[in-house]
Amino acid sequence: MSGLKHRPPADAASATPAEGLQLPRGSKVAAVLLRLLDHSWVSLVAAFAISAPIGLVLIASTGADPWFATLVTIDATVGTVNGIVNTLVYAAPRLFVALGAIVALRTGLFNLGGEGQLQMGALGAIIGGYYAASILPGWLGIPAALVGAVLFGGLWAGIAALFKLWRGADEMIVTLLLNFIATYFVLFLIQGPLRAVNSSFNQSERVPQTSELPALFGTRLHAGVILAIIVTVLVAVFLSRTRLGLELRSVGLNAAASRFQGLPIAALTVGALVVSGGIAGLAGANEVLGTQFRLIQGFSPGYGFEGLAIAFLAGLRPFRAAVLALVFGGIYSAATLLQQYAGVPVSIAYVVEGIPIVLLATFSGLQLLRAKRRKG
Amino acid sequence: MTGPTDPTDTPPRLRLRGMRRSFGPVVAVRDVDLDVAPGSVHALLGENGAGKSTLMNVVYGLHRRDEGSIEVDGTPVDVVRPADAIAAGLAMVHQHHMLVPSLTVAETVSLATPGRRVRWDRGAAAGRVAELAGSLGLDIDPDDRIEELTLAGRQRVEILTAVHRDAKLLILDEPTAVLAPSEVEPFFELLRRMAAAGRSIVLITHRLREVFAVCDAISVMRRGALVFSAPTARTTTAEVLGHLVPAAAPDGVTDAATGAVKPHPDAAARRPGAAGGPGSAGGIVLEVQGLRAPSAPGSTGLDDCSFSVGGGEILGIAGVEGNGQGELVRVLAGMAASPGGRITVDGEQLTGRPPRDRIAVVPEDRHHDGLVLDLTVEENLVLDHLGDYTRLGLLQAGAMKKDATAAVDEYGIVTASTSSPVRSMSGGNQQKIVLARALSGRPRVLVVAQATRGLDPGAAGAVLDRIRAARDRGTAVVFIGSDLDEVLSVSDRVAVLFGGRIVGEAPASTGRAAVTAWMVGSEPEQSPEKRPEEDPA
Amino acid sequence: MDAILGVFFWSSVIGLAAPLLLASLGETLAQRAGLFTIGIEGLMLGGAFAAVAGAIVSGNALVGLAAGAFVGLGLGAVYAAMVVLARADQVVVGIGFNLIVLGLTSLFRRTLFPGGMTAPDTSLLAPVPIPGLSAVPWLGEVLFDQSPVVYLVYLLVPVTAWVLWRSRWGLAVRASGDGAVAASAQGVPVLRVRMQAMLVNGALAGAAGGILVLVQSGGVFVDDITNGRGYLVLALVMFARWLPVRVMIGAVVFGAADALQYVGQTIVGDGFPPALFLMAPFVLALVVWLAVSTKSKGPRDLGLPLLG
Repeated sequence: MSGLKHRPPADAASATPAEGLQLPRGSKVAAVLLRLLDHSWVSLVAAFAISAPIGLVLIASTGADPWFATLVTIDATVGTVNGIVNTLVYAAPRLFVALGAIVALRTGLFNLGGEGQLQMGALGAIIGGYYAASILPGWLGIPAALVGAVLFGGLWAGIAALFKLWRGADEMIVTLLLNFIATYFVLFLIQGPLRAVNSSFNQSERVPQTSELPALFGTRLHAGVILAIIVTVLVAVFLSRTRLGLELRSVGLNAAASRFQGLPIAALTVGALVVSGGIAGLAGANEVLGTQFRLIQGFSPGYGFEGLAIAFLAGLRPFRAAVLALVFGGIYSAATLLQQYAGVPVSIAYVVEGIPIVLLATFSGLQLLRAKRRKG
Repeated sequence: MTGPTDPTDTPPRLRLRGMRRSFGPVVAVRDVDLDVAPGSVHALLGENGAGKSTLMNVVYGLHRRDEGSIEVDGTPVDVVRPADAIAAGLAMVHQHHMLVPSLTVAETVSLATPGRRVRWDRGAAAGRVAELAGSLGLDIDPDDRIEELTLAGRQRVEILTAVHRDAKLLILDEPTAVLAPSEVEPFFELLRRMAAAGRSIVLITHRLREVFAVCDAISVMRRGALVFSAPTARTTTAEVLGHLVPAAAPDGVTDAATGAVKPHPDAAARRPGAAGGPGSAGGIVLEVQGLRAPSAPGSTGLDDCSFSVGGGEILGIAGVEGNGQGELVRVLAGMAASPGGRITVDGEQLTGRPPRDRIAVVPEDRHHDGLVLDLTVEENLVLDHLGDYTRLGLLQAGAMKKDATAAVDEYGIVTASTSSPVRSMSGGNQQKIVLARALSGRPRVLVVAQATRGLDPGAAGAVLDRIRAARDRGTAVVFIGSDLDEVLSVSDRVAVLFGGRIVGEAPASTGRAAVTAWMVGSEPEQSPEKRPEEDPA
Repeated sequence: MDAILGVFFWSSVIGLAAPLLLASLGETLAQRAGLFTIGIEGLMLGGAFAAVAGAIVSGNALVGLAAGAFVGLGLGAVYAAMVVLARADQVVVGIGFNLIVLGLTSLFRRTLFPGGMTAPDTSLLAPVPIPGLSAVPWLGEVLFDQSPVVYLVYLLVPVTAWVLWRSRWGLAVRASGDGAVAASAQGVPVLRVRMQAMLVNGALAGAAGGILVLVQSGGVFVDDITNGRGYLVLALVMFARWLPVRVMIGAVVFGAADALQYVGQTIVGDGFPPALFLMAPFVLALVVWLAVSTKSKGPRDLGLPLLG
């Protein structure tokens, strides 16, 4: 019935060589994705409500007492000051990655490379916060580190944009591959060139105190958490209130129409990935300057995919992502405490985080099918 | 309509009772009863949107039916998906072909034919296809890839596929739309041969002339209902026409059922001063010379396409789809290059994307090219000139809202709010947004492609009024349409696009016969006033 | 230089390529049917875990390998139910699926096998030289002194090609990925075909995980042992343009990059950092992408659900 369904092939066939650039996958997938992920809060809560008892069963299977586990979970999240602090601290890096992913996904670009971008961001933070800081006045330490992180993360993601524009390579695959390259590259550096003198671990030198993100209230809490909140607001404003943000969303929702209206698709593709990677890079800076104070092997327990999971669950909305990052931070905080007190492996967190995603995606797929059948 | 009490021994090949299908609040097919006899060619007539294709899509299982029963040769069949229809012996050749592009002809034919063996014998399949094609008199190479075939070629493959699996009933949706004039006669012979061999054929069409040439029975649909059904021998063109186009369709107003605009006897006469020639009102504004675009499957591309349009004039571009319309729009929109071609507006040659105060384009497919459905009304209205609403990178929400509200008022766009997504709006309101955006730049030239496709009659009328109003303000309008009646009624002058070039031009008021002839690639006959399609046989 | 040309190096290349190749053949079928399996990392990881668990419980490495394939099949069935039947977004589900499998395998390793996971006896999968052929200098020694399952994996290359281009099912698979709606209109049971392709993919990926851990890693399962090989498979299938023979060539090239870490020490000496060797296959994948043609666009409906 609709023009969409019976589009004559002549239209599709008349592309010119000048349009050699492949449209972002979004031309088909991301517009659907946004609507697919448009769940209500109710279904989000429901998904976690299904996931939580499964988690408890798994905890019980390890021999731990589920009731004790519940109490520990409360302590580790909202029950104690320490719990709240840990939840916030664990939420911050995941939120940075999620926000970065949101910018790319909203443009219809599947940036699955948050892990690599945060690794490079951490490297940039060390270069800015340790090496550059040594020749800069002290107060420039933190800005230099942050700039380094954004630059390294952004340029790293930009590689995927170049592959896409030059070779038509799928950004999904390229960013996945770049994850491993970045991780091993950072490992190579802290095993060799950047390794701290006289250290028994694979780690860099400690950043000077002037480059550390200030601690808050005398706890583990640090300014990275506040930075994460600021960046959340900035991303939300960027997407909804700026010209560039509108252009990115437009490309993500309908690349063909965007091109027809004259939007520069290639430039926007590069821009979206670079901004996305830059934000993810801040996750690395957050870890280096706020919690580890060094670049240290294995500092990311998989923030990349967790951040991506948050972005999906949040339906690509920045403020929802902030809330869900808190939930993920709480889960991780509880899992670490459970490992300490009850010997439950921390990896249980992945299961509890993964189940809601799978549930909601399935759920949304069925809804999409039903809507399609109704409307024809 | 057809009496359920046909006292013949053999049951009908296809018997439909109470077929009904709604899309949301729209009833697309309304309680249709239809019988198709074995070994017959049965025409299903109706204007665009009358529900012919939907009815047959439901029969074929592409849409689920809400109510109704389907019998094939007296056996009830429950069609839920195409596989059920195929198992019952039905086959459907779609208007926009349903073939897998990367497969070869032989693969395509085998794919559609159930088989028990694990192995697929490429050589044997190709041999069978070649043999069958020969026996049907079809020119098909089994090793050709579908994506390399023309639309007519793809149609032949679909028919071959149906015959290969020995379908008892073939449903053909507007099959002649993709055929060159010289291909039509052999095609009808093929249909007659297949009918003589005992197959039944349902021919969906809106061309009355074809019907009397080839069909044994005729049914007419209007507004989703079957309003007439009779053997060809027992009816006349006039009678069928009477059901097809009810009398007293008000002049220049869209038909309530279909949204198609009825031809006004002399459209140009309504506007004093409009004669049949470029520049008659305001001098030549748009001049197009030697546009070229490569041909592609399903389209001829452009081949030395030239024309000019005056200010305050609507030039209609008529033509069968696939003769370069899509490419013409893309070239004029600056979306595709035309090596060697030249586009000038007010004497100034344009390269690349034209400034929006020179040429504005309303693309054919508003969902694909015109709108970003999930953005808001405000955002869509300014998508092509965001710079005007940006300060220091920030969007000026106030200005956007103010201008959007003004446009909504001016164009009569019905929406809950200017910040609602356009996805939730009706097609007519969506099209008004595209038009409002195009005209907001006060372009010298407005290019409109398939302006009223899929719109309800009221909306179609409103959109056409807007286009006329732009013309009256001195804009040069290029009106590209596939509905000849609409093109004739809106335009001042009509040019015919055939094989990627303009093959003829005529005043809209008197040129119908000539235009009709040019559209199928032949030369007009002597008397230009003759209207073959409406002549009683 | 000797090490690079040596029989040992190339023999390990052929072996290391096998799990990648096996999973890639399954993924080729799945992508040809329109399914983009980000979750293949999880399918391989689940298979690897099950293979070692099966080998420990039964004491028989072949039973372990079968368990890997079987668990892969089961995970594939779950995955297919979500993306094919429920039309869940393939990327979103894949990300969640991989997290869950990573969490579960790591959890079960600690709770079910607190003493660590090492297959007791993998001799059934040890190399079996093929008499005569393996005596051919260099080439025979490289190719024909492998584990029996490695031979089988390479035999699957022509089998996959045959299935795709010479069987009715393969025809339906290609149609389902390149024009799902059209294929459906021609009577092809697209959903069923996609389910089947996903089950095959699951079983092959599971077995690939099993081979990875039982044949290449001495039967020791550690957390996240696949370590991105699933994503390598995705890259491999894409720039091999969904052609089994090119997939095989690609797998061998990646196998060579993988094997470098074993001979690297002997080439460069102790100073050479292992991290760069670990990085090699991934860098190679990107470089290959710069070199290959991207003319063929691949299955048009890749990653898209069949609606309606």
